[in-house]
Amino acid sequence: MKSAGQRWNYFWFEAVSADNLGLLRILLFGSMFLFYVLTPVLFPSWGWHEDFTLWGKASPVFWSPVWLIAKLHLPPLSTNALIATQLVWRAALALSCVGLFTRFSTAVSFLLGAYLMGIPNSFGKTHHLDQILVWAFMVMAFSRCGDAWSMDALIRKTRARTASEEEDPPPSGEYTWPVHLIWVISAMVYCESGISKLRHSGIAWVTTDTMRWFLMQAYYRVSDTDPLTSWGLALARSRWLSSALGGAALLFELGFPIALFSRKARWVFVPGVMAMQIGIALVLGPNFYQMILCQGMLWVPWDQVVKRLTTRYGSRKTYGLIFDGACGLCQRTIIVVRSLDLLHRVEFLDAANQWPPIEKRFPGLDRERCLAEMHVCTPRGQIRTGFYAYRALAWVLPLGWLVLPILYLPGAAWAGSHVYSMVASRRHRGACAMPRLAPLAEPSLPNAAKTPYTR
Amino acid sequence: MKKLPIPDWQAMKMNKISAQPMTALLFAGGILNSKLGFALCAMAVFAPMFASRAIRAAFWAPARPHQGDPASKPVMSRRRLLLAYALGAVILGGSCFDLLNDTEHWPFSQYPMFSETRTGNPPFEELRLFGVTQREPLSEFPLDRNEYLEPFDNSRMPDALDYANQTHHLKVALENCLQRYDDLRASGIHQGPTLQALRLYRLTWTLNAQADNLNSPDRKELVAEVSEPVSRGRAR
Repeated sequence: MKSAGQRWNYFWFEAVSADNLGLLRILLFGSMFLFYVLTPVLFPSWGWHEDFTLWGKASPVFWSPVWLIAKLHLPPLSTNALIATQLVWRAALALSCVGLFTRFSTAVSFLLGAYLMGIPNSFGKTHHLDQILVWAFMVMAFSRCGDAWSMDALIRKTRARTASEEEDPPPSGEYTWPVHLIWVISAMVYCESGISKLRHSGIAWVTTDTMRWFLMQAYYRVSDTDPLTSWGLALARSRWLSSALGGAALLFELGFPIALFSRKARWVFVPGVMAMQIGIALVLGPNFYQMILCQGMLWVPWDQVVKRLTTRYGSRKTYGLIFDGACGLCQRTIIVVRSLDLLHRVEFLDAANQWPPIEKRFPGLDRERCLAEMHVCTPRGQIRTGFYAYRALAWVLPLGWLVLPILYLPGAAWAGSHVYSMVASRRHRGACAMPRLAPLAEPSLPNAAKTPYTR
Repeated sequence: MKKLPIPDWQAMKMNKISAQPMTALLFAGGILNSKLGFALCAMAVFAPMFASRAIRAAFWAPARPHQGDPASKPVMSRRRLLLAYALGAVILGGSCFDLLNDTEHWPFSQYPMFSETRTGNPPFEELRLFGVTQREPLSEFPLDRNEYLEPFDNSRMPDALDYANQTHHLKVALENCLQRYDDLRASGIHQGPTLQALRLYRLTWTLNAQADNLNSPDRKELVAEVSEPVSRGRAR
């Protein structure tokens, strides 16, 4: 039986791998980058809210800064200054997503995000849809979310001088508290909303016509976002139905903190509040798309999802990657490919140090040629070299899927082969040999004797 | 930019909502309604807790080697442990303060939206802008499209005008709205008609679930009006 202190520390600081936090970073910053860049273009009827530059033209007569902006004496910026600020913020979101200069980019995402999201709220009305983002960005900025699934981690590995530096960071409490702190903040947002209802209205919020009135009012008032349907009016015709809806909403809001402690409750409360917010958009009008996205991402154990996917799809036939293990540049390339090989479909074969077993398996291969350019042996037994080897690998590296269409563009093969030849011919001059990689496992490639070189 | 006096707008908005006597008991009858009171009460809760050796040990446990294995690496460093706690304390403490005081210090908030009671179908009031296209006979239309006055939207505009009214800057605010309408029209953002004046009305409805009186409010009270300057009007 665990003591309260142990439970507390287990909740906040359980030693876990960096994967979940890294994946959450990608999803949180990536989705918000896409949301703020795309919605003004794709959904102009409401998406224009997400473009903060328009506020540069608002009259100062309406300026009533929110607490944070007033406290820091931050002025409303001109349109040009807002364009620049928003550009930097969006770039910071993108960098945070890919995990490049993660500490800096997440800090910029938080600081500029807090200012930009505070600006519209400083003109007459405070909306409550983006606060959770401000807090989530803040927590991420102070966390070590760039330790895994990031460009920073890849760069760190390629610069590693010892085998231990090449490995993923060990499990730590550092990767638990940020996720759980955002959970707690998220639960508190809903719970506070429920408590406010009880405080201002008591149980009368459910037992009176309050919900019915709000449902009807949504169709009378002019708003930035009208209800998506007229179902609210139909619901308002029934007092019982309206009250039941109000009661359910209050129950979900007040009960949401239970999701922090119970995995089973999470299956009810998390989809419940997401459904509630979709319902609000349908019958009351205000949309909380950012919050819905956040909730959808926060509570999923992404590391487990990836593990399941890799187990399911990782058992397929592998690609053999034959490289020059005496070349520093090749070694670094292998470290990157190894990190990107999430489905474990690439087998690494060192032609410089392990040639006899390779020769035995692939008698048709020429060692000098294997040392001169990278070779990939596909499950079908075809051999790809140089640029074509990279293109073959792109099919099995999930990140490679993003660049796959580019690699098949007309002229890409010609340009890629030239770049590859140029780099390959100079590689021994500028790069130092790296320490040897860990011993390779016994190859399980298809026996491809007399395999033809194909493209 | 001309600086305007900034009243405690958030407090003004909150004062519209009165706390229920029963639930107010949950909030210690207002003892916590000041930063000092809140801090003292927080200290009164936490000080005895930290006097306990067991709680102190549990607090620092993540920064210590695993029990029974002195060589093991702690899951957190002391500095990072304190940082994590400090961050949590700032965010959660600030939110608790706002919740207890029923105030809003953005980005902290007590999330008061939709929290007021509405019993017995009270009338619904809303400030709404109308553009006057002709005076004799009067022809006006509601400025109910977001692009007429962007970046202000229909959700924010009534509150912003209410705020300007409270700060006695309503006329300046309306003149700005009229100017903004003209500028956006000139730049092709909207194709609304030319305006001679702008009127702010307070509309009142008795709500019904058929919404059949949507276009005929019970009352339409003129709050303020600004006219297009003659020179600007002729220029078009």
